Amino acid sequence: MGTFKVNQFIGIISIALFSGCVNENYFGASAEKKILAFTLTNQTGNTNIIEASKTIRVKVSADAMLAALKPTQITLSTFAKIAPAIDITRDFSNPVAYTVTAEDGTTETYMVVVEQEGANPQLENSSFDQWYTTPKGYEEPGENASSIWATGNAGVVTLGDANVTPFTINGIDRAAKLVTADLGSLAGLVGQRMGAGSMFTGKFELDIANPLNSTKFGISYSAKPKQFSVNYAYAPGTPYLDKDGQVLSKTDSCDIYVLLENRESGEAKRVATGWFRSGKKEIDAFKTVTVDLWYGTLPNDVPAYQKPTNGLYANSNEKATHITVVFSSSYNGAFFEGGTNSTLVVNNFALIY
Amino acid sequence: MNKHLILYLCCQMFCITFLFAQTTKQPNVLLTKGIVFFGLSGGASIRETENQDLFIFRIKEQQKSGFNVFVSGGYVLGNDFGVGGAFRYDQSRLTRTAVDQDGIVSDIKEAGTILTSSAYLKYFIPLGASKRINLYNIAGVAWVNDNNLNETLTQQVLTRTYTTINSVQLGFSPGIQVFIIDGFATELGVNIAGISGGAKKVYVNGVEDSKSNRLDIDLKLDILSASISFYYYFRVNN
Repeated sequence: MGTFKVNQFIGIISIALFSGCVNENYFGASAEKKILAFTLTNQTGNTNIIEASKTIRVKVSADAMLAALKPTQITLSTFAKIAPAIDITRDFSNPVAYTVTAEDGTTETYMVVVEQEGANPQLENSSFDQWYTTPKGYEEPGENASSIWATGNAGVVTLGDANVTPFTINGIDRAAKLVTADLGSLAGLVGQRMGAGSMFTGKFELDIANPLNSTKFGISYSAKPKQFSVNYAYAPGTPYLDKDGQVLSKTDSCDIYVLLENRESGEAKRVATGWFRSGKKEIDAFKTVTVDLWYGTLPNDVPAYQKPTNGLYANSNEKATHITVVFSSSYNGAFFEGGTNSTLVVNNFALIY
Repeated sequence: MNKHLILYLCCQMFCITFLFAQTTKQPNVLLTKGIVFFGLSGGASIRETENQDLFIFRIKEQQKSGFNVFVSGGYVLGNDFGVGGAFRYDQSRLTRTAVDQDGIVSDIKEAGTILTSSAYLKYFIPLGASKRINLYNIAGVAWVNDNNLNETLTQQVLTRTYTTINSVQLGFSPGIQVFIIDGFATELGVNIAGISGGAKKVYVNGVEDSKSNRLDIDLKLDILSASISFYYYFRVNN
């Protein structure tokens, strides 16, 4: 009898302990059911996912067939599933519903609203009037984090203040002000003394080990502009410092350029090039500059910095799939050098067809 | 801090041992055949943290708790020699909201359990004629099942990491036993040597991410394993 009780006791203890062991479902099934990324064939620009209204807004090119589009990428919350599946072609002439089912079985429905661009599309927020505040407190151009415009602010603020900021003209109009910042001797020790103010179409994903890898240039785009124009003011700064903080006898210049590329094969092939570089001080009033886009292989007499680093050009049958627009307050910003406080203000960028 | 506490307890134990060693009166329960022993030990902790800056991230809010229970029992087969078995259950819980330098918030939930079951031989070496104070040595084998689940939600992305470790340990654990009052003893033991082997598997979001095997032969004193247990010795048959 005594032995039986001891066995019972040990059995109960064992069951209690084993049932208390943590397993993979200990916290229960996940209720997360969000669409985190969504892209369509023939899309231009970035996707705007409005979580509050469960609406996804996408722009597609003028030649896209709205009645037969399918997603090229959908990123969901972990463990969630979506219906209809990614590989199903849908008619996007009207808003299309996608239902996301969480691991715990609960569902959420997103409406995908597709807008077709006109034949001569402009880039969103190319007047630089809209700015949003990031969680870290500095401002970035655009309505929210899905903006097509990015800056190097995320990298610069690790050592100082943001160097791309909104600039108000006559109290109403907003422009973008880019300043080359001296990041100090600590940055000089790692060969990154000067932080050029840079703004571009694409994404900035900070890579501390390799800062140049942080910039992801380009957004989807398929039109064929002839020129671009922009209002700008520029003042090259002094002294001109290299990446280690050594003073060089150079005068700084700003860079403003547009590159159209075909990235269908995975490699970027240059479709068209438009480049403006100037070290001339222009501060009395905004100056409008209009630059032609050169389609095809650049002539030999064009400076080497304008040519594709991989040497690849698209042939006449390969259309543009991406556009990269870059503004920089120092032309050698990629090498972490520039004039101290070189300042470039840009406003009202436009593509001319 | 834990090391200091353990050293303090060890000193206390030796002081008690010294005092009891002066007595000659024997306890009414001697470690002879037919004696059953039953022991218990445990511990618990709760921590709450708010707004603690850890340089690379800031803990906005954190709750951490844990407890362990140790149950052991055995039977004395002959003079100063017994066999037994033991269970130990460790449980820990953590919930944390952390903010990194970019202002990105992570919600972390973590739970872990360690279940240890063991079988052992226990030798007693009386110190003096009173047999109130004994040195002992445990030679045993233990099976350990260690499970840990971590769920981190960062920028709407959930990462579920489940780690399971199963191991077998062979080892020695000597200590000292003091009969404080008749039948009741306090024991302080520590692991000094052992062989352990185990297999670890890590699953990330339900998919096996890595696995590893290990075999360790260890001869060092593990001071952190020192623990005090309370035992009751009684005779079941006359």
